[in-house]
Order: sequence, then structure tokens, then C-alpha cells
Amino acid sequence: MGFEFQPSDLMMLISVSLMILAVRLLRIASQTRGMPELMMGLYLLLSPPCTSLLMRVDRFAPEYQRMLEIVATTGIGISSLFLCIFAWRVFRPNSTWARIPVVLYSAQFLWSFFMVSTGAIEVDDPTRAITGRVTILLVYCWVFTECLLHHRMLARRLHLGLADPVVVNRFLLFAVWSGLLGVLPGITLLLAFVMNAGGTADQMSSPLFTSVVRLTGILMYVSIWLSFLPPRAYTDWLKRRHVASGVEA
Amino acid sequence: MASSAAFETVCDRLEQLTSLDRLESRGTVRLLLKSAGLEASSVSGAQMAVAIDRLLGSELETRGVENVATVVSELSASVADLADESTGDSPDAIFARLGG
Repeated sequence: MGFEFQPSDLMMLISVSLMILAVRLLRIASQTRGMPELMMGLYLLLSPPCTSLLMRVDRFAPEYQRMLEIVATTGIGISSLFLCIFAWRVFRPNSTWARIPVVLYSAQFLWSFFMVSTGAIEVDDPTRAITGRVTILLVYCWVFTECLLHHRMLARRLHLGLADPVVVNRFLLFAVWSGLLGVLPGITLLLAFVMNAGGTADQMSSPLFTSVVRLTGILMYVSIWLSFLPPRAYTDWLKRRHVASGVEA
Repeated sequence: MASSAAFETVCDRLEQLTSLDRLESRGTVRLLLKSAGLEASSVSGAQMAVAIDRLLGSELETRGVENVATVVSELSASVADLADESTGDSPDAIFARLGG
């Protein structure tokens, strides 16, 4: 397919390691039969490799680029739908209004997929690119806001000894990585407006985007790992800090 | 959203034990829950008892309630043994599972 390996492609190992976390979550989901674990596992299974692929689409032979871009954007779209369902099932399972974003996101995704797959619009159509990024941005904003609100609420419980410091911290870590992930479509959206172009590959190879992606990527990576598979030293530190704060355990 | 049994019990007992009317009682308990990071719809009896023991005293004093210690003690006892009626997973229970 004409792809030439470059040293920077070692960054794809990050995607692979996140997929290991995904498999772990899917195992937990099979034991607990929990929808949130399943949705989060599927999200982590799809989103990192598809994002890696999308960032490297222009490195493949031209005849494969369109097809790979469709695969990558579709994968990102589906993974964001999983995240949307996760937010609904975790934070607002009994809320009628919380179903609306899930339905709207699904409709937008299906419309976009149908239009591209039938050739009615190009995969880099500006309208499609912008609506896709806005909806993904909104999903991340939703998760970010809910996690931050719950972190605040649980921090108060923690003072009364009614919460686990590790779980309280997990809400904060979720807010960090979902907030940072929201930054990415936000920046590409801004670039799309500023450059008045829907050329995804052009935008994603710009130095500004690359620098921001790398910086946010490191922070995201660390916060995702600490969220799902925190080292014992880290959880011990959280517990010690909680005890040292003089709050009831 | 319906309130939990613990919330309703405390509101009713607070109204009976003090000079606060229904609206004031419910408002006081809602403020108590907000300070404790709890929700009226899902708070359990055990959680409510802790919040009452730790935080309600000062709330009642600012409202000029008499015999605060007795009121707090009675309210706490009235909910401590209530069964946890929450159905489904709370966000914190789900997040606890996500860490394995």
C-alpha cells in the first residue's frame, strides 16, 4: 500500500498499548455484564488505531488514501458513538434528554457514512468534516463536564469518608483525558475555519497541529493509563495523601 | 426525579422535631446533601447518617434551632438502618469497576 515506516511511527505503539487496556476492559465487561465497561472497551479498541491511521493517511499510496480515510473516520465516528453511549449509561441512565445526544449523534454519523459511501460527498467534504468534528467535540465536552461535576461531588464525600480516593481521582483523570481529546477536534475545527479548507490530511500535517497533538498526547496517555490501570505506587500515594489530609478513611 | 426514602424520612422528622416548616426542612436537608456531595434521589440511610452527624449541627444552629444535639442524634438514628434502595449502578460504582 506504499506505506514507508518512519521513526515517528513508533508512536503507534501508544495505540497498541491503549488497545491492551481496551482488551482488559472488555474482559471486565464480560465478567460484570456492564454496558459502560463494554462501551469504554470498544471505544479504546477503535479510537487510538483509527486516529493513528488518519494522521498517516497521506503517507500511503494515493490510490489507497480515500479508502483509508473513510475507514479511519468511520472508526473514529463509531468509537465516539460508544463514548456517547458510555456517558449516557453512566451519568444519565434514567434521563430522557440524555438519549437525545445519542440519537442525534447516531443520525449524524449514519448520514455522513451514507453520503460518503455512496459517493454523494467526498470524505474530506468541508461540511462533513466540520459537522463530524463538532459532534465529536460535543461528546468529549459532555464526558469532560460530567466527570468534573462528579469529581467535585465525590471530593465532598471524600471529606466525610464516604468515597474512595482512587475513584475520586479517576473522575479527575477522565476529565483530563476527555478534555484534552476534546481539544483535538476543537483545533482541527478552528483550522478548518481559519484555513477555509476541509483537507484533513493538510490540516493534520501542519506543525501547529502536530505539536499540540504530541503535547496533549503525552498527557492523555498518562491520564488514560492512570485511569484504567493505575500502578500500585500511584494508588498507595493517593490513599496516603488522603489519610495525611486528616479525613476519615 | 423521586427522592430517596432516607431524604424523605429526614425531612419529615426534621419538620416534626423542630420549628422549621416543610419547605424550610426540605431546603435545609437539600443544602446538607449538597455540602456532603450527595443527591436526594440516591442517598442511602448510612450516607445520610454520616452527613447528619458531621454537618447538620452547624446548619441547624444557623437557623436558630434549639436542642441541636438531640435533633441530630434522633435524625441520625432514624435513617442509619434504612436499607439502601438504589437500583442500578451509580457513576462511582462503575468507575470503581473500570480500574479492575
